[in-house]
Amino acid sequence: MEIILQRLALGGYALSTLLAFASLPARRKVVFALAPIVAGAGLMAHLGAFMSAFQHMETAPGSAIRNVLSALALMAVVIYLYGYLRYRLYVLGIFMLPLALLLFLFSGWLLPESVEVSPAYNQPLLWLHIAVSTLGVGALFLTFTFSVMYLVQEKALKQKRPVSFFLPLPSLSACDRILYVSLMIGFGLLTIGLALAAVWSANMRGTFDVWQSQREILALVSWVIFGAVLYARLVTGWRGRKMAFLTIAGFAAVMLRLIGGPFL
Amino acid sequence: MKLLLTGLSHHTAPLEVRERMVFDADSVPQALGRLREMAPTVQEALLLSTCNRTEVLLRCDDPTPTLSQVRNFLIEKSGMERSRMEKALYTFRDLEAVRHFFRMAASLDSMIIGEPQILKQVKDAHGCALREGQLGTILDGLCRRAFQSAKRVRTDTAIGRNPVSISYTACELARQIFGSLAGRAVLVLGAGKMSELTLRHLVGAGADKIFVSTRRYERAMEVARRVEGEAISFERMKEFLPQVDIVISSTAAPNVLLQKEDVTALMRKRRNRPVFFIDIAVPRDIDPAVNQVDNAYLYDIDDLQRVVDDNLQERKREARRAEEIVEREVQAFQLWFRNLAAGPTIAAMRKSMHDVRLDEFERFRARMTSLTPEQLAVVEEFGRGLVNKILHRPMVELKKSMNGNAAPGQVDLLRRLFGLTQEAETASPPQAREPRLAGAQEAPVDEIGRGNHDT
Repeated sequence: MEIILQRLALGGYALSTLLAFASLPARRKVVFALAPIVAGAGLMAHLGAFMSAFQHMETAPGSAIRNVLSALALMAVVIYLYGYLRYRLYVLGIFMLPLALLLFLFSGWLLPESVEVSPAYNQPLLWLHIAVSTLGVGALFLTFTFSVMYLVQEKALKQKRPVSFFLPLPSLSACDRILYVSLMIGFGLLTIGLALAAVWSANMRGTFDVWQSQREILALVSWVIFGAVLYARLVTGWRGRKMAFLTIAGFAAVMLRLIGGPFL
Repeated sequence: MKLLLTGLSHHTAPLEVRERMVFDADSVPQALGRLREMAPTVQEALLLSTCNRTEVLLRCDDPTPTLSQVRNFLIEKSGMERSRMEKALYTFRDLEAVRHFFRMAASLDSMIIGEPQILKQVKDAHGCALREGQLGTILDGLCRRAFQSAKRVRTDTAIGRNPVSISYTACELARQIFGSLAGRAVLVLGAGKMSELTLRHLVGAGADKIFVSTRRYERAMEVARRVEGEAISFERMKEFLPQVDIVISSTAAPNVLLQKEDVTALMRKRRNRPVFFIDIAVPRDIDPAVNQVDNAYLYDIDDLQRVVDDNLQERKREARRAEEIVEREVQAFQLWFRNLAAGPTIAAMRKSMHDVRLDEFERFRARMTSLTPEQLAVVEEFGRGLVNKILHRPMVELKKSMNGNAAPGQVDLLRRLFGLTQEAETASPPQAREPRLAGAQEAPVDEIGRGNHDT
């Protein structure tokens, strides 16, 4: 059953991603509604598969990065559907749906089976760390998406070929506001997540030093980038193109830390 | 169909002809009355008059004399020589008239393709003709379908999405940068028609703090009073720059007023909050290099014109898709029109069959002298029942077609099969034959739908 649901979700995500791109030039409301419907169906199947995976999970969640990725894919689709239903922000689909598809693919096939971890690792603290960090990354999805939209919009305006006349992008100011607010939320959650990880590490291994692999170093790199960006914004009003570029770099580090496992 | 559309537009007539043909809104009812006087065979009529076109759409029994009568009416209105007017007037008949009307309502025939005013003007013309009792089922249905197709064109294509005037484009660009303009401050440097028009668009979009500065302070005061802004002296202009988000510049200054360095310094003071420069002055007031400064956006008059040109191209592309939509709607109208004849056809068919029955009954009566009156009544009853039974199925089909879900040509076919061609050709719902009394109809009523209830 879980396999069937997973296949259904994968099909839904793949199809809706295609639809989101293919219907961009159509400019018809009817066509625009196709991708969200298919994505919604995929989401239902995904939710089912996720619940069932959660019930059968016997290993510690910390090792089951696959479930984290799966949850992130879920969040990406939920963000997309919310943006579409609430703000008719159709373009969100060309960012969120490929992202969801990628995360879902990694969660299902591309990562090795989760490692057996001793049950001692299974502590509320670790659970909390995972939940908070996952939510933080979800907020960063928005930061990333709106950074890219900002750059596209900004470039078009500077080159005097306003793209938004045929691609309904939000205004620069809206992009900037959303990327800033989501970055603050994401950064805050990631900071709490890191602190929880450190405490947990101290409990389990007697050291606050959680940076034991390259992957953890990537997490630190992204945290430093986001922190620096927010500091510059708050103190000197630093904003615009450079800020968008840096947040995209920070987000790339986060993604590499999450799905780069096999390559690092 | 017997529809006629005649008139002139910017395609066929220069301004000096068009301006003589304008009926203002108050004179349209009178003009419609005069038209009926001059062309008594007209059954339904609608008069549309805008600054770019004057057209009469009508339905009549005999198009050829009616057309010359209506042309006389238009020539009388213009007061110009006949030969000159004849050249400017065009005529469309039947389906061509429908197509032209639909394209016009969808703004495909407009001077600026996709401009939205025409639909409202057509709606006004429809409302006026309806109030004057000049519209029957057919033209009323035609208008409603034209509105529907125009609306579909607007929602399904991007024909009206992008602005095609310089001032409105500037305003749209400001919205691309700032989103809502509520609470944004605008500085107008130098006064001029174009800058004031742009400012009006910006204020319409929510900008609510306005500063005006010109070389002559009195002039600034004057403009500021008009636009409800604040006049500031030209020397102190740069002090105000940090508080404004949008700068419209159109001074006659021969040299550049704002250098790149000025703007770089300005951005520091503004803590990098974006600023939009609209430089419509020739020679330019603002150094083009300002556009390279982060978070500063500069459009000069040529940049704006280029965007406008792109948008016009885009509209032309969209117009092709719009034509397809309109064509589908024209076909739908044709279908509806054909099925309109269903109601009268039912009556005609019933009458024709029962006439046959009565004729035959009379013919055989002589041979039935031996029958008692009761038996005779049974025979008659038998005949009536038989005819009704035979008619049942075709009636059901016809009634279906009145709801619009019959195959095209079905009514035609039935008419041909039962030899009803002549009657059905002239048949139309009785309301359409005579003009309605003014005020007799508060809300538009679908006659066909109403006719259905007692069947």
